[in-house]
Amino acid sequence: MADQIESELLRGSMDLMVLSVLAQSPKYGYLLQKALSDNSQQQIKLSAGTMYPLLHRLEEAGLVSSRWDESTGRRRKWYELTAKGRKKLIKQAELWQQYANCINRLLTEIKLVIPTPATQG
Amino acid sequence: MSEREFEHYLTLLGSMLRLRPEQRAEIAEELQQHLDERLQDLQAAGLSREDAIQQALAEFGDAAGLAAQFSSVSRRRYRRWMMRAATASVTSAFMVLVLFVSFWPTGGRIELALPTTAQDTNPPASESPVESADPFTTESDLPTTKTKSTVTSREAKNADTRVQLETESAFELSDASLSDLSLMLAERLQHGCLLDYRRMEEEGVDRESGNLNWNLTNASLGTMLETLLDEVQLTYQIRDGILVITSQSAADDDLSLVIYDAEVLFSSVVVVVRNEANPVEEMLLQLVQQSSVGEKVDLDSLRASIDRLSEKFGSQQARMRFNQVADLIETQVDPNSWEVNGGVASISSVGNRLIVRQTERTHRKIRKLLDDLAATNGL
Repeated sequence: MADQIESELLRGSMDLMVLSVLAQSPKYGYLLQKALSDNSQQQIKLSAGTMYPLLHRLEEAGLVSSRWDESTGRRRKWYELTAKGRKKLIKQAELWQQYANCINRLLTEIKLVIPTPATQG
Repeated sequence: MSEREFEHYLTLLGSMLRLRPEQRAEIAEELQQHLDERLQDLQAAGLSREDAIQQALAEFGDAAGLAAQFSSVSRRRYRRWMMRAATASVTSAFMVLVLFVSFWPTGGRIELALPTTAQDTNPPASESPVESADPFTTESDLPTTKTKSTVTSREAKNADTRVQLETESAFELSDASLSDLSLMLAERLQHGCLLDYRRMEEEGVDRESGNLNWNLTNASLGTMLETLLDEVQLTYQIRDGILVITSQSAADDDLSLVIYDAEVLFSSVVVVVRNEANPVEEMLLQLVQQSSVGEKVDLDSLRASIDRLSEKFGSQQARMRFNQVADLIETQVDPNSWEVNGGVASISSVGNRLIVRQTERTHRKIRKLLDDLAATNGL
């Protein structure tokens, strides 16, 4: 159960990361991967094996759209946020903030509680 | 060199993707672009070509895992498609019923509650089954069981009576006549009860002679009725909700058409159909994986997995198939009454619905059989 929540959380946050990077400008896969890494001070490295299926899933859900383009001198598949994707991003970002705030509050309380060992039952 | 390494990887990946060829090609091209760019960057950073290739591929992870991820995206798509298809089939079945009713000789008598959305959602394809539906010009009650949106007021009444017969318990009778019985039933049943005097007299049954006895109050009303009437060569039919006691021979001449929704049985078939391809695919996948990694194919483990898969496959195949339901009914429920065995009753199907022309008595048995089947399937 805990694993499931964790993987859900992770997946949700990966979606959020990809959507937020795409919100800045359309990108192809390799560029997106680099942007994600750069924007997070190299803390987040999304592997290609995870990213491409994720992009395809987002496209399937109508949150991003894709098109092949050669105007950059090389034929690449560019991904772009759709209007639906933008809405989703805003909503998810809000949820994420709430969630993070909530966790933060809990962690602050733990700090206060830690000196006295947990009395259970 | 890189082209061949990457190509090998992508071919392997492609072979494991359960997608259409053009989708496979597109994914391969996208990944190829990525690998090429990564290779350039790594080489620019000072790696040897060999090392760069190895690292670029390592970053992608194993092809099987990647293929599984892509395939799960497509399975979601498939599931959505299946749901849409199911909705469409329900809608088209509904349209068949609507048109059915309008072609009905006594259509004026039937009130149909039309959901307002039906018109916007009907797929044009729903027209076609109607052609074949036209010949069903039997008199008597309209479909159906379990199709809630299409309940005619008439069928709703019939259903009321059926439910009452099934759920209410029998009452005691001692030396009662058929007239007594029908009076008691008329009191009990919501839509009343009638005796078909003329048919009964033709059979030489005296409605006033008191020879009916019953004391098993644990039995259902339906069981009691069936048993008592059977003794005197009578049976009952339900017309406009009214329980009509009549002779068996009259009832046997009176075929009615009922559409059975066999969806519960059909749904297990969907599983079977989808899984049918899997054992083969899984076998191939395994072979591709093992041979491409250069490992020797372990024959024993392969044989074990074949056994495992065929066992799985076999048990699924043993499940009820929709098109076997018809055969089952024809062999298990009053076999001699069916056309195939020289009788007059018939059975056919449209989509996942069984269309059965039978006497009411046999319809009751079919209903029970289908219910039992659904129950034993655990569906």
